[in-house]
Amino acid sequence: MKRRKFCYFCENRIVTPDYKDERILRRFVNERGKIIPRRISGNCAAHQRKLTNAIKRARIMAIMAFESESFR
Amino acid sequence: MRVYETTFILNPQTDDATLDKQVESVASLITSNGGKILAENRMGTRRLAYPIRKLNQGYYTTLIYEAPPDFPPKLDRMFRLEEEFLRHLTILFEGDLKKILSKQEQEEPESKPKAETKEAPAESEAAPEKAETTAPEPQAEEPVKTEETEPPAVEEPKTETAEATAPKEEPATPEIEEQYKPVDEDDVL
Ligand SMILES: [Zn+2]
Repeated sequence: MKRRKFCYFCENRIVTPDYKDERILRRFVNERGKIIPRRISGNCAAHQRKLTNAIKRARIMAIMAFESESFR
Repeated sequence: MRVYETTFILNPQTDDATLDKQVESVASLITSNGGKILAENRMGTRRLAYPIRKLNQGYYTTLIYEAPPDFPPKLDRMFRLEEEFLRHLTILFEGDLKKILSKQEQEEPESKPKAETKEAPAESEAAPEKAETTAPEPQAEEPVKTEETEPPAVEEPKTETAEATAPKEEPATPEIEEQYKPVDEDDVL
């Protein structure tokens, strides 16, 4: 995996990721549905925290899958 | 008064009138408790990421509203008592309130957003100013792809209309998942 230098959310001026926006959230989970660490995604700490929260909400609302082998 | 955002999933295996009534029951609980609805966004029927009560699809609705701080627990109690709600989540609204309010003003003249969301969201809503309407075949995949390739546009104020017409309201289909994969990998990681 290539590293990304910049925080996606800072770059795109997204203050808080929307947990309902699966298109964006799914960029930050691997094929098993695990959240990608920020050392790889390049997100800043503040945004990674908000992103993690959004992904967890998305899982509760069945917008994203929980971690599993059969994801995708 | 605070601004909250509540999203709930209804069992889609029922008729539109019943779904309307169920959404309406949430809205009226808000207003009868001194709240005020600021926006209603029906994402409509979409695929669930995992089955809930043996259902693979759910009917998603989001309400953004002002309400007193003692209201969310009341709402929560109602959701738990009524079995048609598969899931529900209330959070403090974190988005751009101005955007929501202006978007709603634009939408009000066009009477019923719900029928559109269910049938062909991209086409009917894009009609006023989008080039996509010229596409001969209403292929669900096309608008999704376009959107995905230009994610930076999402928060730009200029593209507000593009965001409003975003096909995220479409029912998710299995094919859509496949498509994202290549884009995800080259683009981001
Ligand atoms: Zn950031």
